[in-house]
Amino acid sequence: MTSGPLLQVRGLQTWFDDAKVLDGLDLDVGRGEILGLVGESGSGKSVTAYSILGLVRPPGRIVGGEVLLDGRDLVPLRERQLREMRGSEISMIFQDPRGFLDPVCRVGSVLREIYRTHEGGSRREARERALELLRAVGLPAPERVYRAYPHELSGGMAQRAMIALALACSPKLLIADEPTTALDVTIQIQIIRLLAGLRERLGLTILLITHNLSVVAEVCDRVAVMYAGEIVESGPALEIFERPRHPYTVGLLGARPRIGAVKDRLADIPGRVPDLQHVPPGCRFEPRCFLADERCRREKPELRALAEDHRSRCHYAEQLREDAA
Amino acid sequence: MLEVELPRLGEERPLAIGWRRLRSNPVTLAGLVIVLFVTLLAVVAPLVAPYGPLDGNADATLQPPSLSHLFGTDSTGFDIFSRTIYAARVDLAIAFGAVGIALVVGCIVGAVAGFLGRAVDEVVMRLMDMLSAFPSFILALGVVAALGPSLPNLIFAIALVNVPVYARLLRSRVLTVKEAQYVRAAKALGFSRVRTLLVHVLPNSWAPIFVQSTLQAGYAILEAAGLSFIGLGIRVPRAEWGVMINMGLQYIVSGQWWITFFPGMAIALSVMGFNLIGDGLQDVLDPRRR
Amino acid sequence: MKLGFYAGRRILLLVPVLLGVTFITFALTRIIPGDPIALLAGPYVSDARKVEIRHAYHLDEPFYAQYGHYVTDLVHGDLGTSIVSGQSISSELSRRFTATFELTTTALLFSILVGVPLGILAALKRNGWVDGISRIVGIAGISIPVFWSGLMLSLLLFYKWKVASPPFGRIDPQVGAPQHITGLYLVDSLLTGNWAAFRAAFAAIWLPAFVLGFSVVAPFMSNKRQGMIEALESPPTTALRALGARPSSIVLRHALKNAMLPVVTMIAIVYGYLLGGSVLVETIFSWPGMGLYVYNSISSSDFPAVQGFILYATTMYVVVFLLLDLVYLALDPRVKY
Repeated sequence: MTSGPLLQVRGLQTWFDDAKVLDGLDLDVGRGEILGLVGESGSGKSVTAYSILGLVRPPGRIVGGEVLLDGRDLVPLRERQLREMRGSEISMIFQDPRGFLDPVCRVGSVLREIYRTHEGGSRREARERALELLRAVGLPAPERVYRAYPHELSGGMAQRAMIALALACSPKLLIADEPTTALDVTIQIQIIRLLAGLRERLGLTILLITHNLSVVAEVCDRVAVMYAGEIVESGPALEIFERPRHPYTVGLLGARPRIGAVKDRLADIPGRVPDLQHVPPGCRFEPRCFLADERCRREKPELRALAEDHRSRCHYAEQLREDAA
Repeated sequence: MLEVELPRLGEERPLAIGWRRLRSNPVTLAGLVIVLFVTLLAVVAPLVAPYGPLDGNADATLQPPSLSHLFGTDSTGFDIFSRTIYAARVDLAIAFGAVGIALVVGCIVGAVAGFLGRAVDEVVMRLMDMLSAFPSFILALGVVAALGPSLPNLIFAIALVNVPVYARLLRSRVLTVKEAQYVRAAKALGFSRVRTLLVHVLPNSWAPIFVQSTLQAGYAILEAAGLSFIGLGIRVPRAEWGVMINMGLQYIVSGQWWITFFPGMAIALSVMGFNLIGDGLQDVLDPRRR
Repeated sequence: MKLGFYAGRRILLLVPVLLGVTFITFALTRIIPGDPIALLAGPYVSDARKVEIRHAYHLDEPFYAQYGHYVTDLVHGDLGTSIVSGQSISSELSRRFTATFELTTTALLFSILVGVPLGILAALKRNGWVDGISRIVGIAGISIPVFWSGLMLSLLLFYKWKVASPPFGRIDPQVGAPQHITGLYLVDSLLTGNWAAFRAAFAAIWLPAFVLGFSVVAPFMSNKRQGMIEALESPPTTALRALGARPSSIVLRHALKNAMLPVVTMIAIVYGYLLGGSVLVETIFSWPGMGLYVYNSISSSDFPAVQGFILYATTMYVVVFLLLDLVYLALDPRVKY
């Protein structure tokens, strides 16, 4: 096991026909950290997750880049190798748990199947492990959930069951794709705290995809802000909230950023996500940006470091610091 | 599936998209060609058929296919080739006629039920349910048995059996449209239901109606031929594919296969044409299918 | 037992449907043009007899009274008397019921056993040659008239190549029917270990069942294909893939289970076509079932018999529909009753 980030994405390019949804994405997830991947609909967050796992379906395909898990590149792997890795080294949970669980299978049956697929073992051993997992995710009556069908569970219970499923084979990395969006506000907090607790107890690394800033504020160590298939800003969560260094992030946080004032919802930024079939030569955010000028239209900004762990993809990132006071 | 929220492509007009897909869908095209071919033959039958449908020739009975009689002759000396072509007129008339009537009646019934709602809707739909409770061939059988075998009765029976399909289809469209905001607004402004029907419901419904009709036309031919075969439709010796098959029944054993073979092929070909159109159309309208 | 209550409710709901069916069937007699006596009693009756018949059939009473008599008779299982044979129609139909049931059910089994696997294959190798071939097979099935394909195949297999058994009847009379337990020759011969009878019964049934079943392969195939495709593209499949589940398990355990349920509904829809088709197939193969009975009745203008058949067959259809509905409910864990 090498030291350094657990997951390193370098120059990932995922295209859908001629739409370049991801065109050179860079992302780092450190060991044992919870990274929040934030952005509005259409930014490519889910595509990133699916690309990491090699789950992109035609007409989408990965055309370039690397995805390094513990130094091992996943992009060139064959399907069979990817299958071994999925669920046992990287797992994923999804937005609508009841919609993503097989409606005609009992929860326990799927748990056993996944466990036995990767770890082998008898039916009894798998059952033990399944019940242990269901308990570990905070379900008060694991036996009942074990025997239940997905539609018999509440949203929160189903999400816990899904988390149990994802952790069945002790993966290193858990990708959570909008795990709380479909849930009640009170349940959201419980699930998020559960994830944080699991990180503590198991040393789990989590890539948390969300557009909900309060979730980010609650539990993320670092944040990466995504726009139109690119990371536009990344850094420690507190840094980003207190000193955003990209106009888009500023817009998301709404109005002038002030310490301690975190909005729950993304503020509305006028305009729409660009057409990825006709990628502009300059900054992708330029049409909606209050700071933009001629240079932004012509010259594409690089993702550069402003401070030790704070990077921004904006020509005028420093200027923002002066504006915020 | 994979949630990719891509920006919308430029909107093409639906008709343009439809035509483009149609061209790239060989199945529908094949079906269309077949149906048009058969219809054309039926229309110009007198010009194409070498003999009349009832021109019997006592000297040339039970002849196998030859140059003078492409499909051979039957026990009365009728030329099978000519009769097969003339029979297309009858079977296609039944198909288009029965389906056409069912379409008009069914749509009216469905629209009435949808718009007037409540009691009228209940009664009408119960009636449709009662009709649908019968296996369609068996109900048509009963109606023709009661009314007597003839072409109009056959068309009526088959139309009757097909009405509930259209009634339900249109009723559900009407109900959907009724709930739409802009329709409620229009109603508040005093626009009539008929206008709603014509402007909103029908233009949106033509696609499923068309698909349904091609499939029903195919079944109509099979039902007509089947009923005529058992003596409940067009009667001997008129030229109709099902009747012709019946007329050739007793000669199969003695080896005169052509009397039943060619009319059957004609049925299979025509029905296949309709089914190919319907199947292909469903692909065009719902690209997820393929 | 909740399913029991639901079943009871559905059976009660059957009553209005059946009443409607009887009403329409009854109305058929009333739309007969001309003198109903001629149709009910045959054309060669004396005037005095006509008066008797008019009274016996309640034709001198108002419409609703006639309907009332009709329904009362039905409740007693009386479908009237055949003009031709003078026998009770219901007893004649009941005797032939098992023959038709055996034919239609065997045809159904054949069609499912062919259609479902083809549909699965077509879904897995979408737009490949398997998909194309099965589509053609399906369309051919629903386009070719059963009475014609039956004739052509008998001609080929029996008369020309002599591989099939004579296309007449349910079993070679020299072998004889097996001991009667269910009335289904295939089942009874197996139950009594009568192999000769089983072989003979099978030899007689396979061609008509094939012909009838072939005409309904398409719905099962396309339904299964569609169901599998949807299951394989559904979110649960994505989640399973993300967890590294084996593809064989995803297809055979998860997708298949999900795609099986619509097949039950399809059986209900298809059964109506099978009943209609059985009239034609039984005629061709001289299969002694209800279909052949109605063909003979039509030929001899025995309208009460035809009417009786319509009612019998439709009731059978309605009951089958209900049973399949209940089966579906029992199988689907999502439905609450």
